[in-house]
Amino acid sequence: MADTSNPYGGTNIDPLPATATIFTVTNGKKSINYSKNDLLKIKSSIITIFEPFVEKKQSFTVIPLDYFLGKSAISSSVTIDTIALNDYIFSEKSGNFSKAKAYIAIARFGKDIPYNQGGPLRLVFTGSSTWSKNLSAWNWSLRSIKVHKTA
Amino acid sequence: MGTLIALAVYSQDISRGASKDVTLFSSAELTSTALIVVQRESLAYTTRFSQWLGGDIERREVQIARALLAQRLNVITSSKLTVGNQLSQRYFENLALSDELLADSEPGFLTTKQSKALKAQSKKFIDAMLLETRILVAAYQDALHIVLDESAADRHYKADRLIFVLYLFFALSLMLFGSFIYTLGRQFRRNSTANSHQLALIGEAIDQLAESRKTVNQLELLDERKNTFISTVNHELRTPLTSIVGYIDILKGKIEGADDQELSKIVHILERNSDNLLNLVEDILSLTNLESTSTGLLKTDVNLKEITENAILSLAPLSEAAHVSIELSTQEGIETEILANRNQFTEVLTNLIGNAIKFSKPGGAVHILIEEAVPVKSSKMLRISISDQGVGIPADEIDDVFSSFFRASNVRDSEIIGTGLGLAIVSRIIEEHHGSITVESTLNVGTKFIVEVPIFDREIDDFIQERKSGVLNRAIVALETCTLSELENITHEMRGVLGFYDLDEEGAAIAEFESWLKSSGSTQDSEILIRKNNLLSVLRENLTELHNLKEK
Repeated sequence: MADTSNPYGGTNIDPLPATATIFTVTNGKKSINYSKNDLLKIKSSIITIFEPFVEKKQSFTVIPLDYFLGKSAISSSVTIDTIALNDYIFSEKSGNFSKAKAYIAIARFGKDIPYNQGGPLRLVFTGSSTWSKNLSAWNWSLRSIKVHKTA
Repeated sequence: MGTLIALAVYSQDISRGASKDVTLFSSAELTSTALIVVQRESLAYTTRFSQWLGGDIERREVQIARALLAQRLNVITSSKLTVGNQLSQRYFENLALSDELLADSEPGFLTTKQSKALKAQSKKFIDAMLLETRILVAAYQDALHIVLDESAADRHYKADRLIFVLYLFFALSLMLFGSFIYTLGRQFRRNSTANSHQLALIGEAIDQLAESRKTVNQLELLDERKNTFISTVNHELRTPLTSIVGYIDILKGKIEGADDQELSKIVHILERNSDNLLNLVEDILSLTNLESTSTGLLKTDVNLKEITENAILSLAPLSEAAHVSIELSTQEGIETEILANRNQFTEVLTNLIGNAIKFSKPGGAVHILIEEAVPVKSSKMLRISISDQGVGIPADEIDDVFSSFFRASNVRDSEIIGTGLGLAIVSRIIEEHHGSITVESTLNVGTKFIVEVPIFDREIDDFIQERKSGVLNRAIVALETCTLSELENITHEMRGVLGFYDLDEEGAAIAEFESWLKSSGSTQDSEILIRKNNLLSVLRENLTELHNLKEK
């Protein structure tokens, strides 16, 4: 397994209960909240990809973003904001995320992704994705997804 | 043919130059963008840290900001080094300092005491990080300028050489390419101006942030120092003064009976001035204490009639010496219990009755009446009025009677001693008791002070006290769990409930948030969340205070 430590600190975070909301998807007035427990119950797969920020191959446990878009009935024509814990926002049409086969990573090498390595949730793309080199789209420490505007 | 070859060579060279410019600019952008992003994350972390110190957010949120900064520092740039590798040792020393402070603290919100203790230690880190972020902005500017300058110099050199060659071949080509250079130059200048403008804006924002934080810190420090200074000086003055007053008393006893009028006069002046000085010190101390402990006073049911009688008794020597009679009457069949801090309210009465005696003419009378007043906002009120037949206050000075160090012009040079602080203290205390004080006066006829304070209603008080914590807790949970779209309705509902239970400060905080929510029309989740968290901090802090009071 590749070295995954971060030499710049930021390792200690006061824990949250597994039932606390860590991810929210909002479409209009309707929001769906997901806790860590909720996410673990969703069908996931493991992909090994090249992580472009630390330039290493890493294995992530992922759920397709399409799953969440479908649950919240977000159509492909609307623009969505992917919002990080530090309020960084990457916006694109929902359909373009689907075309780029976006995944939400919930674990790395079978363990929680630390906050100082872009966790606990982050957007990832495989090497064959059209956005594999679009680094703006690889939103770290994802907090929520929200419909930005309708078509 | 030669012209065509020259044209081809020149055009290729210019094109290569322009393309190199773009490459150089992009590489500068990549390095400097990494710097500016680290600057942003550093600033975000420092801001979070300050909010935590202020008790606005939990430690967890600061830790997350710190972790995201670490993630940013660990990104590998085009130079194959991490961003962190390009930062100074000093930057990491400051980060390590903040890590220690975080690690040594407790999870959750800081208490006021912990916050106070940590603030001093953290000042070095916050100032240093603000400086570092400014250095990063400067580095960003330098990186851009160096690359752009190099690129411009290089291009000018090549252009000069080729223009010389082209002069030899064909003047028309020169004009054509001159026009091309002009267009490129204009574009280049436009880009450069736009970048400089943006950098200037970023620089200004950073400067303003650092300045305002510095000003706030300085003001807080000055206020704290002012109170400590006044308190210390007063304590230092009071000790020798008490001793001086004691010795003057002894001296007075010793010369009693002696037939030395001049000595008696001197001792009398000494006694009057030292008493005056001691009163001034006591009054300043009271005012300073009121300023530093303005909230959280323990109020209980106090019988206004009883403490008025006690105040009259304690002032009996003064009234006897001044030959002034005091008459207290109470409206029949009324409850005279008020919700007050016994010591402070006794001070109010002693001040007001003492003044009435001091400013009465010998043989005059002071009338005190306790009666029911008109209810204020459904709160039953009790009124106590203290009237004298003294010198009165000039009409044009009435508005200033509650200002610190005010003394009416008609008594300023008289024998009547005073510091001019008594009524300022009285007014401050009554304000703390949610009451009011007014004054009516006619020069040389007399003065009447009217104080109104809420009646203590045991039944209502028990009912309110019992439910206060529950209601506040319910408001906190409702605000925490509601969605953004429900926020306006929830705040409206909770404001009403809190108001009913006399949770004024909390109600005001919610009202302010609700009003901002309505007027701003903000759709930025982040801004709403920050403001909501600030509001929740106020409510949580007040809930803790409520519990502490209950335990007391």
